[in-house]
Amino acid sequence: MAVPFVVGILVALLVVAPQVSGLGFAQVSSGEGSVIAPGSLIEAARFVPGRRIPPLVFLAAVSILAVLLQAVRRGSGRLLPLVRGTTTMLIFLIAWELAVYLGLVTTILLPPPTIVLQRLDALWLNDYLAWHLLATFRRFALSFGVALATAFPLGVLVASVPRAFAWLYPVINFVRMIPSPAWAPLVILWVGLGDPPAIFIVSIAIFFPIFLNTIRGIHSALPIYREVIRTLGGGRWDEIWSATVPCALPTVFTGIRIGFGLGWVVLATAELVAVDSGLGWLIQVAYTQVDSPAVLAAMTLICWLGILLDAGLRQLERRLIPW
Amino acid sequence: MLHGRYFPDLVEVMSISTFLLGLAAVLLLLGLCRLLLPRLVPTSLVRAGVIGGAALLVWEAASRLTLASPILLPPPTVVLSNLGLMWSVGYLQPHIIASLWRLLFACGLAVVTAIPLGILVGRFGTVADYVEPFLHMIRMAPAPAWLPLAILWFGLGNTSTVFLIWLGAFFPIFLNTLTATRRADPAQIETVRTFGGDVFDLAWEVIIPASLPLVITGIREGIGVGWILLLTAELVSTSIAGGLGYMMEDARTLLDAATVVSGMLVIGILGTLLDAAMRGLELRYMGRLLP
Repeated sequence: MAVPFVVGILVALLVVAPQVSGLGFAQVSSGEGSVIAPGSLIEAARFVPGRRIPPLVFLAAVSILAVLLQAVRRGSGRLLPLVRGTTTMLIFLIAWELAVYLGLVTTILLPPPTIVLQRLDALWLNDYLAWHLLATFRRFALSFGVALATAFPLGVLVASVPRAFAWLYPVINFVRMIPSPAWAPLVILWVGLGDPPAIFIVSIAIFFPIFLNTIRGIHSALPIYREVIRTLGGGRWDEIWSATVPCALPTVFTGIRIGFGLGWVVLATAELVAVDSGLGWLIQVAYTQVDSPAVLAAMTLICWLGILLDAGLRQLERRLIPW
Repeated sequence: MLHGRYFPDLVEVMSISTFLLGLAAVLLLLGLCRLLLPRLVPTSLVRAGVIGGAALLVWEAASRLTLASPILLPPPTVVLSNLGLMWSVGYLQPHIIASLWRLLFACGLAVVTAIPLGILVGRFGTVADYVEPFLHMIRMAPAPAWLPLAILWFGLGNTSTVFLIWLGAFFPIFLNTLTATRRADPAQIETVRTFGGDVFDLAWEVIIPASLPLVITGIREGIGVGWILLLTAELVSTSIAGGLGYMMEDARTLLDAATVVSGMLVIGILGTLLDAAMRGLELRYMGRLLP
């Protein structure tokens, strides 16, 4: 069951990897002119007003939506928590927009939703945002692949050698306690700025949850299943493949999900420090230009993408490991 | 005072024989302590000593055989001498204190805010329905992404760092308190009510004791997250106020890899100690509260 999953990720990496390695300024600006180099484009985008929803229309629409939702709540009891949650968010949006227009908050420090949306619209122009999204996704996929491809086999290896884990654990724990962003200065010294340090930092963050959970999962596999396989005449390989690995997979997948979340967080850091593309970089550049609408726009995107990815992973887990 | 020390020229590197003798002495001492006081020195410490010593030897050998550039990965002799020098001139201590103070202050703030809020939301189901999805959404925004906004709001320095760590540590504590509060035994709650207890009796007699273990787990997770964010924030934001992350970033700009690696060693040691302390606390409270 896990084979197609791992193979799929590896194939995806093979497809993605060559493009990632050449993902720099030069390649983009040497195109046919359909994509403009990021540096000049962010300047351009600052003067593109973008389409803006009039604040009053926005407020009215959100309020009507909130009121309409209250009508739905009488219908079905199962939807009630969802309705309530959404209501809070809508009220939050209204309060946020109002707070700025009533002069309670400075626009430059906390731009209202309509301005953030307008900035998002402007950023979307000429595929600027799409390009950065793609860069973030490629980097994340690559880091995740590297981490999975090293952590899972290494975990199986360490777990299958008796007492190896007990000996290695103190050192592993020590390295684990060094937060992955703290690797940044050293790795940047080693390999320079760019994709490699970013991918290294993110992979380290993803590595440990998968590695440790693989070991934990294999250790927790009950010996009785292995004995059943042996009784039925299976060899050592059958034992590992049909008994131990399926037992370990749910735990491994928990590790994958923890690592996934952690990696998504660290990716934002890595992109703040090391590279010249991606959503984290976008935030960093916008911040240096006191372009807080763009900061918030990118943050919102990262947030929602994280939610979507996590939900997708949950679904995948349910499909792949139904036991 | 905290800025721009360049140590490599000043370091008097220990000789290889001193290094080997020191390593052997430490291992011998560890073994001896293990034999004499088996309760005080757990096996894991001895194992850590053996594997760590072996790793140091390999690292030193790799550097001597010029498998790795000594500028980019200075050998342990250089790093340890550098560490000693930084400590003896009093350069390292202010950074450690600055980092730890920030972490403890922010985590304390997170504890003080997250636990009451968690109990509140956990006790009233309707409030949870309204608030939880919203908080989950904020939680999903990676905390480092808040950093630029935090700097815009609070400026460079301590305040933005503390805000970031607070934000990261808040959610594990809050969510664990929430779960723990919901788990309180309804029979016990009814008992307190029957005997005429008010809300405070309820909180003090039932909810807090029942939820403490999980809350402490939450605090441990929160400090773990805070530890990561501390370094993140210090790498980017703290500037002249010091801190280990700042020390490393500063050393990197001076191509002083010895100080960078020293910083990583100190961070690893502090992180391990912190985690061990929290684990000890957790075990102790679990032990006391479980029947």
